[in-house]
Amino acid sequence: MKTINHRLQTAASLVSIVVLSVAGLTPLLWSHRAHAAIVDSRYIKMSSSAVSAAATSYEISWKSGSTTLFKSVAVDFCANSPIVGDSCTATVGTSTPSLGAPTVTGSGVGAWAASTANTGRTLVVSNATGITPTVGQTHVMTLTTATNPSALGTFYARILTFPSETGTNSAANYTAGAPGAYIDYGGIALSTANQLTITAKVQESLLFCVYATFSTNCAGSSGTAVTVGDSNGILTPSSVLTDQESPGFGLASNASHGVVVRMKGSTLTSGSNTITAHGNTCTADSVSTSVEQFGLRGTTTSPITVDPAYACSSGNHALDTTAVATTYGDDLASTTGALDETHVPLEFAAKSATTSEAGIYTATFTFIATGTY
Amino acid sequence: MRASFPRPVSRHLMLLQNCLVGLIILAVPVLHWGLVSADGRLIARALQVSTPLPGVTAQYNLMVHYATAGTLGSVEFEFCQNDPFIGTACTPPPGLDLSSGALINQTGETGFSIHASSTANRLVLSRPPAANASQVSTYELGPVTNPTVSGTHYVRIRTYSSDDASGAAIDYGALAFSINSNLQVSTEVPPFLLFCTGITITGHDCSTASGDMVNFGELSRSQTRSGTSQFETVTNASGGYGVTLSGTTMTAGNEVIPAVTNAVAVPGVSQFGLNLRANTIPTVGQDAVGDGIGAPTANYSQANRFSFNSGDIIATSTGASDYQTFTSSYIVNVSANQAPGHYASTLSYICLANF
Repeated sequence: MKTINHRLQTAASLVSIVVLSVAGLTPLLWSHRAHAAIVDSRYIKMSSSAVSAAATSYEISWKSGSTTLFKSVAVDFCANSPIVGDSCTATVGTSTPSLGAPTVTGSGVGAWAASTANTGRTLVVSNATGITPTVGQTHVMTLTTATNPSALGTFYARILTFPSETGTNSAANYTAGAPGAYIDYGGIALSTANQLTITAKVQESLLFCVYATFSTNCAGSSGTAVTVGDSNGILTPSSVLTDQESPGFGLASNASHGVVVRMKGSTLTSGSNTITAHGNTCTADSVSTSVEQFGLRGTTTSPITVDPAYACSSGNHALDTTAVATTYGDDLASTTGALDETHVPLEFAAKSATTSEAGIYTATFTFIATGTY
Repeated sequence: MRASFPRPVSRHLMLLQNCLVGLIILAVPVLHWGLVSADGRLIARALQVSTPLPGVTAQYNLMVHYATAGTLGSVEFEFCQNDPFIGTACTPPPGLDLSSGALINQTGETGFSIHASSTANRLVLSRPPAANASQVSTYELGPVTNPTVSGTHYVRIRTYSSDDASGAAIDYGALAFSINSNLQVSTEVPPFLLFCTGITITGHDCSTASGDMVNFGELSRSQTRSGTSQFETVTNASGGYGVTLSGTTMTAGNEVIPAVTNAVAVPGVSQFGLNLRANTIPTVGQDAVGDGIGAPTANYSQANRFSFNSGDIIATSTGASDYQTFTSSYIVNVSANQAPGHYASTLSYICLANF
């Protein structure tokens, strides 16, 4: 029992000695990191992750871990480790970024002088006045001259703040093996990555429909026969009568330079007899029994604009029999760019005169849509 | 100086606290035109057709705005039914035939002819390779046969420095065009004839026609008695009309006042006749009034000469005739030997239109 107690006492003494030794030694081990603290909320935001991307911006940010005045900051890019104090391996431009002739902008240290050290591996910013931060104060600086490593994958950065602008215990004198008396520190991991290329096809499109009877859209609209006159399709000399249906056309296209709709046709004809057309400008409907007329008008429906020659107000119509007989027809309507499905109503109107020869009169109208892509 | 102790952070924890920054950036979507090694998209392109009707003969006017200035030797237009994507399979539009077309006109980059490799749905324009500018050019082709299928069709366009559309394309692009039906507009103008008679008709309006009796009063041996009636005509008969007058001369039982033919009025001579003119001997009647083209026939068209022959056509038109009011001018004379009595006649005017 006495032997055990003695051994315990000896062991306790040994433990005490060890503790005391550690306590005595520890201050020596850590004495060159006076007031050092890990910086919190640290990051480096890259504007591109593509390998070898030039003119890449690195936004470097951290929050102070201490209140000690610092006058310089080192950001050391390493391929192997973010641990301050570890060796740093780097091939600038390959495994770590090329910093170029650095300039930094931003808040706090953003206006400080910038340079490189350690053969271009380390970013050094400094200022004669420095900053006495509060704990948790955010510092941001943006480097705009970085060229990403050509190697794909992870690389690291070590952020250290120093009390001196130049010389001993400054960022300019920092090396990985002998960092000096830095204040706050922290490590960050970054990575280049493959870029994704997304492709899609958008084909030229043109939806064009012509119909006698409109119903909601092109798919629902139908018919090619338009009857002008009274309910029996008969003209009278006393007044102009319009069509019995709801003719028009529908259009949709992604033609960036717009679409033109042209019209070809003729006036109403029965054998060698014709109904005189309204003319190449909007003309008022006549009430004279001696006048016969045939024409049409369209209603501008944004973004389709009906040509002024046919954008007649109610009670007026037009038909340019010369223009509609040309090879490619007369301009009827147009758009200046792409459009969703839009419909333009047309109105055909006619009137006979007392001397208009009897007969069944017909006219065929062809509508042509031309998109410019 | 007392040494300060750092936060008790292990190496492992530091690694955990490191933030891994790596961005995967989604590239901006690009338009992929298939296996095309081309430098630029055509700035603009369009196809204007002379008619969009399926299966009919047409003229095509192709417009391209070249993007790349350099050496241009050929332009390829490939017509497809399925899609505009260069490098993918092309389904020719059914019925389309470009092979019969000739190059009618060309503007901008010119000097092209149709290459022998052109087919029914593939047009290759060829010229000796020459420098070209980035400009709008048009190529008019015809006659060609439209696709027989209505709907949207496409044209894929590529330009080449070679003269036979071989090798890498320089510029590229596509367009869509529409084949669609037309509208048939119809109406009817019915046969139209308006004819009425009366003692007076006002304003060409048959509803105003009034009276049906001409009263000559007491006939005289020394003075011509006269009177008038009117009739209105309007028709769209392309063959015109004829107005026939039927009836008898003036009679009283067996007593007759003779009708005359193309005779002047002579007091004291028994006469009955009429014309459709304004007369001075006697002063009676007026010429036809209105926009119509009708006219009295020969025996009834001379002023101061009168006729009556039942069944005569007294007025005609050569075609459709607008509103027109005719005035019939009657004269009656009696001789000293004319038997006394109440003389009368009933006349019928009949209008026949030839449609």
